[in-house]
Amino acid sequence: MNRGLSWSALAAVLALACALVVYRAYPGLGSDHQDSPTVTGNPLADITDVFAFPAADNPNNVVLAMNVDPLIPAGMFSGQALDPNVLYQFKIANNVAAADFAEHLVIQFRAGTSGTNQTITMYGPAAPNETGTTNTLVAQTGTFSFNTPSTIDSGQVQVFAGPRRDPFFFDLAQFFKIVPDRNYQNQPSPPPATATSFNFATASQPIILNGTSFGTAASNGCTIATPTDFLANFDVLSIVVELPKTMLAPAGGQAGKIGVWATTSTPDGQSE
Amino acid sequence: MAKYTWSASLLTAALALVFAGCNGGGHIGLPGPGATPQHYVQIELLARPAVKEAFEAFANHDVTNRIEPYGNQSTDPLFSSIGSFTDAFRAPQYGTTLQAVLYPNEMIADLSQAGPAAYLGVETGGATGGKFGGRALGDDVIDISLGAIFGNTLSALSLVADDHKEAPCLTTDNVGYDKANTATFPYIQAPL
Repeated sequence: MNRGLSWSALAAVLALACALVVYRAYPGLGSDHQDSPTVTGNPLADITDVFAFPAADNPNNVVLAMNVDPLIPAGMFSGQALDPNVLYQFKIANNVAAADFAEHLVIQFRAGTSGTNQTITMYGPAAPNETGTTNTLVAQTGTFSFNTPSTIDSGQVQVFAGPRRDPFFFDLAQFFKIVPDRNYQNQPSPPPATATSFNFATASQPIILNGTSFGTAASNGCTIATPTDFLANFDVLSIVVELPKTMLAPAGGQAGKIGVWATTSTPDGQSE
Repeated sequence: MAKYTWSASLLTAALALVFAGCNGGGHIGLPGPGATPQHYVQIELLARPAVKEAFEAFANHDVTNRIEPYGNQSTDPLFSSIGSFTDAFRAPQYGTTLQAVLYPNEMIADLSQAGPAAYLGVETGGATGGKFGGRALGDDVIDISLGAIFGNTLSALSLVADDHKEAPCLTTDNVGYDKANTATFPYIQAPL
C-alpha cells in the first residue's frame, strides 16, 4: 500500500466533507430556497426596540441601543447569539434641522461566527458607502466579545452585545385581541376582534389623560381584569453602543437634532 | 495508478469546492485583496416604537421594512396607514397631524439638550418629559402613543381642536415600568 496515495485519499475525503459542510451551513446564499422573506423567519434579524438616551454618567455621551430576537423565555438565553449572516446597523441623519432626513452616518455590527464565543466587529460611525437599503461595510472601528461590555476606539466607545431582559412593557396580548391583524401568528386570516379595550384593574379606576378626567373604568364600560406586562418574563439580545455626541455631529458642526433608526440586512435580502 | 488518479482528481475537485464556497459567500474567511465587497440588503427597519404595529396592516409591514424611512410618502404604506387608521374614528385633522409628527419614520433626538430622554420630546417641544427626545428605557411609549391616537394629547398640545371623540378605554394599557435597568453601561437589566 502506497502511503502517499493513502494520505492523498484521506485529504480528498476531508476536503470533500469540508466542502459539504460549507454549503449546508449557508443554504440560502445565492439561491432561492427560502421563500418566506419576512423577519419572523429569522428572529435574530427581528428588531423589537430602538432606544436613544443620554449616558447617565457622562453628559457628553449618547447611548444607542437596539434589541433583537424577541420572546426568549426566562432562563433560556443560553446559546442565543447574533447571526453572522446579518448586518446590524444604526443609521443617523444628523442634519434634521435642515429637513435632511437621509442617513449621514452609519454604525454597523457583524458577528464573525455563530455561537456565544463569537467576536463582533463594529464599523463606523462613518459616512455610508451608499445611502438606502443596500449597504456595504464602512471602516472597522474595533472588535469585542459577545456578552462582554467592552471599550474600543482608544477608550472613546463602549459596546455590548448579549442577552438582556426585555426592557419593553406592554399588554401585548390584549393589544392583539383589539387588533388581531397585527399578530403574525394570525396570518393570513386573522380572527375577528375579541375585546374592545385594555384591561383595568378595578371598576373605580379613574381615567385621566393630560390632566383631563374621563371618568372611571366602569363609567366607560372598560374591561375589568388584571393588566399584564406580556414581556415581563422574556429576554432579548441587545446591541448597545455609548459614544461621544460629537461623533454624531455634522462635519465641522455641533451635535444637534438627529434622526435615528435601526436596520437588519442580509446578503440576499432574505431571512437566511 | 488508477487509485492514485481517482484520489488526486477527487482532492482537486474538493479543494475547488472549498475554495469556491469560501469566496462566494463572503462569510467564511476574509475576502482577498480586490474582492468585491459584500452587499447587504435591508429586511427590517425600526425607529419609533409601536407605529407600524398600531397603524399599519400586517400585510404591509414587509414593504415598510424594506424601504428608507425618509422616502416618498406615496410609496410608503405607513404614511397612508397613519391617516386612514386614524380617520376611521377621529376628526380628519388628527390623521394629518399624526402624519406630520410621525413621518419621516425616524426617532428624533436633540443632542444639544442635556436630557433626560423623553419619547416624542422633540416633536412636542418637551411636553412628554424633556426636549432631548429620543427614547429612554423606561419611557411608557405605549401610553404616549395611545394618548395621541385615542385620547386628548393632540388637543392638549393645541395641535388640533378637540373633536371630543376620545376612547378612554384605549388610552392606556395600564402596565407600568417595572424593569431593573441600571445607571451604568450597558444600562439594560441583565437577563432573567
